[in-house]
Amino acid sequence: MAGTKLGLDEAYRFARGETVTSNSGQQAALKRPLDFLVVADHSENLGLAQGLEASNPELLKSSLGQQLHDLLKAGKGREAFYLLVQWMAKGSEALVSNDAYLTSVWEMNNAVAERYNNPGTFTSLIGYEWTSQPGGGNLHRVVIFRDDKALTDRILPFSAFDSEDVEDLWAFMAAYESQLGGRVLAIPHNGNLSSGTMFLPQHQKSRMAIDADYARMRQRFEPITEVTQAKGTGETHPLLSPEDEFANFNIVDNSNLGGIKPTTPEMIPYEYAREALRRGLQLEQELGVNPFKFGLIGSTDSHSSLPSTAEDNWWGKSPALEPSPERWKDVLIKSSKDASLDLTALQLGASGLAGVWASGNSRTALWDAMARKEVFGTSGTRLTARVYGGYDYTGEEINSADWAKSACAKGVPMGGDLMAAAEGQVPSFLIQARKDPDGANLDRIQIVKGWLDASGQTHEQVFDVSWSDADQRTRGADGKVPSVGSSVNVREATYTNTIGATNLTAHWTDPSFDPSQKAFYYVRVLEIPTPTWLAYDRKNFNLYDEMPDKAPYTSQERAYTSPIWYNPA
Amino acid sequence: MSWRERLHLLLKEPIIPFLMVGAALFGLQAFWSPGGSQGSAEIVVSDEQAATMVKAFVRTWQRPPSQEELQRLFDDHVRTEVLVREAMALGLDRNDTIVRRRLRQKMEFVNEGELKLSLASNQELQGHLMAHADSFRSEPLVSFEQVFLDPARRGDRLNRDAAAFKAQLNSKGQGLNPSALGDPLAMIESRWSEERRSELVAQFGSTFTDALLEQPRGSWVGPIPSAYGMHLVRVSSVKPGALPPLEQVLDAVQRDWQADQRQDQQEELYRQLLAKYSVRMPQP
Repeated sequence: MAGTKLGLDEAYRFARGETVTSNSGQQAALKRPLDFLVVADHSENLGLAQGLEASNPELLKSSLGQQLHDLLKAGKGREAFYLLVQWMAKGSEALVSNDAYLTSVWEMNNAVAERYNNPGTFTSLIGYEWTSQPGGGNLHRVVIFRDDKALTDRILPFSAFDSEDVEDLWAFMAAYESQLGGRVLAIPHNGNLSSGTMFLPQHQKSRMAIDADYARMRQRFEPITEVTQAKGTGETHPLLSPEDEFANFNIVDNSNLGGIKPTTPEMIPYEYAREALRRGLQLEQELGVNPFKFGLIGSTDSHSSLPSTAEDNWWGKSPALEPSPERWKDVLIKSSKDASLDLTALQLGASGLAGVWASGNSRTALWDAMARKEVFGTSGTRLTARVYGGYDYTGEEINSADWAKSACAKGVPMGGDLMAAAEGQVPSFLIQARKDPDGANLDRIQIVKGWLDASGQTHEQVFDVSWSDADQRTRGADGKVPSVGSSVNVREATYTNTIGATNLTAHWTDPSFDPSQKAFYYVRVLEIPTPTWLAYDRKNFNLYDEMPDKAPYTSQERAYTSPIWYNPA
Repeated sequence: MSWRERLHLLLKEPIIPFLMVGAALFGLQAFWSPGGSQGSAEIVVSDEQAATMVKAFVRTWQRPPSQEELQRLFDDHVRTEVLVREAMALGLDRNDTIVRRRLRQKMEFVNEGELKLSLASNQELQGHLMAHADSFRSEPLVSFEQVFLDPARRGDRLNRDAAAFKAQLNSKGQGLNPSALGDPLAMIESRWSEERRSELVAQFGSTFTDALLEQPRGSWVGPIPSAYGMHLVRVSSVKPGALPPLEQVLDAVQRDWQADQRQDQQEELYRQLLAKYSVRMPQP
């Protein structure tokens, strides 16, 4: 909520599709409402007045305190309020220890979440953000509870002031589950601003190599990871995936979140999800447990109470980034060291969203789907993607309207595990993707495979498995499908759906399957190129003379599904 | 009154037994006491502050702190106190944006918290419901079937195919399975039952949904366009959105009414505070 005038109510109302007045006084509304929202206030700002709820002797010492107390106990809240107003208007007394008198911000946040939770239509999950960033490296986690206010009120959020060590956060989560019987999970922010620490296989404090206990806790409490948000991409980096021609997407990695430490090449392997998924296979071999076995989502990380992700309707990452002719010049994070380490508006994307395949729209259904990793992330578009893996698919299933049912009966959904293949069995995948009804057509569906070979080395390969205009766009000598082209007019910030497909399906069998090798498979879906918010600003505010000629004015928005893992005997 | 007795008074939750165990663990003598000599600035961790710290610890960890942990809490509190005092002596709190925002936030919380908003009478709620009818009106619910025709597959044949399918569907009626006709459309069902309008907008786009609501009932019509291509549709029913009676939305109206009340009170508070000041500012 840093620096924002808008509060929780506005965030929920905006997410539900209502028009709200933005921090800069503009009328803001989404094109379509969101189905669910977690307002994750930084826990370091919480706990304002925890502790002594009622009958605080400190408070009762003053006559005002005594009067307020008596009125409240008699159920006369309104009178108490007006008494307080009068007292404050006089401004004569200091606030004494009136922190004690207030209920905690946490409980208030929970109360607001409860007000807007409307299962079936709109779900407000209770959560907060743990803001650990030792040395400026972003290790933030969004902590999400399955439970209602009645249970979550019984705790105080564990903050980075309590500890910046993620293992302490997990210990707190374990205590919550074992002592109160609730359920809670944590979602790491994208790792690109973490100075090579988000997926470092070392204990945070001791810097010793992680062990099986660490791996078990991480897998248990961090079932999903954010790979796209306003501050860039955490899927993969061109240095890690030189063969992947779509890897250079919204890379934001000059420095860490503090703008303190430049990112150096040896940090990169420990910042990106795909590499972590690969290393996870290695570590599982070593430790018996995979610490990096996570599904993939996106989220906004919006700090303005206006969670929005459409390039042509982006309300910014923070109040200073609300639509204006100036915002493209904004510096989100100013480095104290060197301007080349700044995180500037020009680097930001209008990203991202989390898609959840849940049995219903409720806290429990959404949380359970997140826990089983049946989720996908998008760079902000509402495109939809789903994948199943199994050994017995014929490929006919994909054409039936209830394909998901048969796909599930004969296989596992995204986030699931394929058990060891029997003699002669090869896994295949059923995939469907559909464009955002208000957005751009699709370019292609890809499968990203990672595996561990007999010598303990990991590899990755990206396969094009379905694409638009397949009769004209044939694979090149390198096995890759040629570019879909572009219909973008950068100057006018327009595009047309004259290229691409409205929906794509695939039945794909791994051509290089080795039943003895651990592997994972996830799906990436690309849209055709579209203008970015920078192009829309340039056009809408007529900034042709001011904005640079070269800037990220177009991009291919995308979706990533959670992986399906293959586990040999 | 000993601090443990006060603690007992202060904490009325079921964690008290834990706390008392915790209290017994470290004992009174372990309680931090200030050591500053006379004349130097004194830092005292009061009984209430100690109790607050213990309670916060218990709510975080669901167990009482050990003696060492408690000592750490106290030490940390003292460290904060020392640095805050020194920072304030240097004037670091002045003109600090974050400090100012925090103070503003704290002020805004003053009228929240313990203060219970009064409940509205049924009459007030009815009035609120009528005044905000648009927010409480239920959405239209649409039941229909659709057959998708993909322009990418059918090209010029699309209109001819659509006409032929429509004729088939209308003449054979229930005997024909609509999902056997037409083209697949990823993750879109052919049959929809009492679906909310907003969900249809999310799935098909608003152009299609608006057109769908206008179609005659009971027979196959179209094709009508969506974000994906063309659709033959048969609408069986549209339940119009309606303003529900108060009983059905009592909780929601009550919440909404209280939210307004809360906002009014915040504004009222601010107005009264503002009245203490004369404000001058440049012409914007």
